[in-house]
Amino acid sequence: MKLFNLSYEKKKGMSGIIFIMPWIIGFLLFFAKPLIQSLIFTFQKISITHDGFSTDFVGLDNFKYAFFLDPNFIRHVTSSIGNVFYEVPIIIMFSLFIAIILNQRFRGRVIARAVFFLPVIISSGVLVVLLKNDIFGNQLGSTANVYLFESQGFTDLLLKTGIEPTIVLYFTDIVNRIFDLTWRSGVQILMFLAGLQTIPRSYYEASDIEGATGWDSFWKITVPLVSPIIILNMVYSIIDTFTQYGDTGSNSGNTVVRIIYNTAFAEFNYGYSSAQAWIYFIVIVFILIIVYRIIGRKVFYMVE
Amino acid sequence: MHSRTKRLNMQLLIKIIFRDERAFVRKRYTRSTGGNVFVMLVLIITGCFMALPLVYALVSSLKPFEEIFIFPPRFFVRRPTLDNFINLFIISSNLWVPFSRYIFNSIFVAFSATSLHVIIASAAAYPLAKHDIPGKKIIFSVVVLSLMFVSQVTFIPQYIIMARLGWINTYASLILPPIGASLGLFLMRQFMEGIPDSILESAKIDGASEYRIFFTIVMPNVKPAWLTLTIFSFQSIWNNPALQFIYNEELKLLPAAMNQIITGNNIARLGVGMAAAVFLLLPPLILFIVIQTRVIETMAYAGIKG
Repeated sequence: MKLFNLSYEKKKGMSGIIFIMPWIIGFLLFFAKPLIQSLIFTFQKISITHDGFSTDFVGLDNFKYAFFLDPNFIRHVTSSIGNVFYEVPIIIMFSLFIAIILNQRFRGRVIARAVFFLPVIISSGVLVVLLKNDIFGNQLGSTANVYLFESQGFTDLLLKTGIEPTIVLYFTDIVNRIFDLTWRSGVQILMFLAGLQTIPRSYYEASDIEGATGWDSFWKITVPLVSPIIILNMVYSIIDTFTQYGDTGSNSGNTVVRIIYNTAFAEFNYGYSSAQAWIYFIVIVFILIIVYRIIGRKVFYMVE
Repeated sequence: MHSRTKRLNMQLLIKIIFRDERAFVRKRYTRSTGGNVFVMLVLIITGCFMALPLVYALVSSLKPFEEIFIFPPRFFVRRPTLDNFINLFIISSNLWVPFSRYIFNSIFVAFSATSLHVIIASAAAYPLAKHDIPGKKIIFSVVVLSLMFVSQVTFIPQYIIMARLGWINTYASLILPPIGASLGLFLMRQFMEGIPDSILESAKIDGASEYRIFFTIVMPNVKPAWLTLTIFSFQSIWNNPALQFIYNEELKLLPAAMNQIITGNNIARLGVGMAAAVFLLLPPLILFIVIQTRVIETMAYAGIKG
C-alpha cells in the first residue's frame, strides 16, 4: 500500500533509480567484484600451479613487507606525492589558459584544438609503443620514454656550447618537465573547453554593457562558472598523475604504478602487488579528500 | 538548428556588407596587438610541441629504408616514398585472417562500446546530479574512489570473472566492461550539476516525463560534455589492443594486429610501423575534428537563458 502512496520527491527518486541501474550493474560486475577479489588477494600468497593458481592465507605479511622490508616502495610513494603537489596546479593553470584561448574565435581553431588533443590520442596508441621500443631502444639506448624530444641530443648540444653542466642539466630538466606537463593536459583542455562552452554568451554581453573589463569578467564570470570543471580537472589530474604508467629513472609518469605492475607480472608476486596497490590507493584517497575539503567549498554551482 | 545557423550567417553577411564594425570586432575579444601576438606565439610554440610526434611519425613513414637508419638520425626525409604504405598493404593482405576483419572488429567494438558507455554514464549521472535518490552521496563517493585505483591490479580478477561468465573470446568482453566505467559518470555529473533546477522544474510543471526531460532538456544542455566524452571514450577503446580477453585471431582488434605486423619480424619494419601508426591515428583524429566543429556552434543556442 505504501508503494502507491509516494510523495512527488520519492517518485522522482524512483525514476532516478531506473536511470542509474544499468551503470550500477556494470560497475558491480566489472569493477567492484575484481576490486574486492584483489583485496582478498592482499592477505594471500598466490602461487601458480599447473592447473591455475593456489592461494595461501598469510595475514598481514604483505603489508608488513611493504612498510618495513621493501627498500623501494615507500620511498617512491612519497616522492610521487611530492610531484603531484607542484604538477597539478601547473597542469590546471596551463590547460585553463589554453582552453580560454582555444574558445575564442579565430581562423583554424578546430585544427588548433585538434593539435592540443593530439597527445591524448598519441599517448595511448600504437605510436607510443613504436617510439618507445624501436626508435629509442635502438638509436638512443636506454631512454624508454614517450617524450620524444626531451632526449639526449638537446642536452649534448648545450653541453658542447660550454655552459656549466649543472646549469644545463637544471635547465633541460625544467624544459623536460614543462613539456611533460603540457603533454599531459590534453584531456583537461578539452574538459575546460566543454565547460567554457556551457557559459551563456549573454552573461558576457551583459557585463560588457555594464562596463566590465575582460579581466573582471574572467574572474567574476568565467572562473565561478567553470569552477565545477576546475575541481573535476583537479581530481582528474591528481588521479592521472598518480596512476599514470611511468618509468623508473625518468621523471615522467609515475614509478609506483610500474613497480606495482612489475611485482605482479614480472615477479608473479600477485598478493604483494595487490597489497601495494591498496596502500597506494589509500594514500591517493587521503590526498584527494584533503584537496576536496580545501577547494570543494569554493566551487560555485549555478543553482538558484 | 541548421536553419538558425544559416540565418545567423545571413545576419553576419548583412553586417559585413554594411560595414558594421561590430561584426568583426567584438569588444570582449579586443586586446592590444602585443597581447594578440603573445597569445598567438604561446599557441604556436606549445602547438608545435604537441604536433611534433605526429609530424615525426608522418615524416618517418615516408622515409625509404636506407634513411631510417642513418646515424645521427635526421628529422626530415630527403627522398620521400610511399613504399612503407605499400608494404603495409602487402603485409596486411598476406595475413592469415583477412585484414578487413580486424577493421570490422575495431569499428564495431569502438562504436558500440562508446555509445553504450556514453548513454549509460549520462543516464546514471542525471539522477546523481539532480535527483534525491537514496544513497546518492555514497554512490558518488564510490564513483570518485573507483577512479583512483591502479587499474592494472584488477587484470587478473577481471579475467577470472570473464572466464566464469564464459565471455573469453567474445565481443561481449570488449563491449560490456565500459558500462561500469566511472570516469564518464563523474564527468557527466559534474556538468549536469550546472543546469539550473528551475528549468527542470518548469518542464516538470508543464507535464514532461523524466525521460523527456532527460532527452530534451538535460542532454542538449550538456551537449559539449557528452560529445567530449564520446571523443575520450572512442579514442581509448580504439587504441586499446585488448589482449587480455581475446585469444581468437578472428576477433582481435586493429591495434593488436598492427602490433603483430610491427613487432612480428624485425626492426626493418620500423617504416611500416610508422605507416601503420599514422593509419591508426586517423579515425580518432577525424572523429575529433568532426565533433569539435559540431560542438562549437551548438552552445551558442542551447545555452540557458539566464
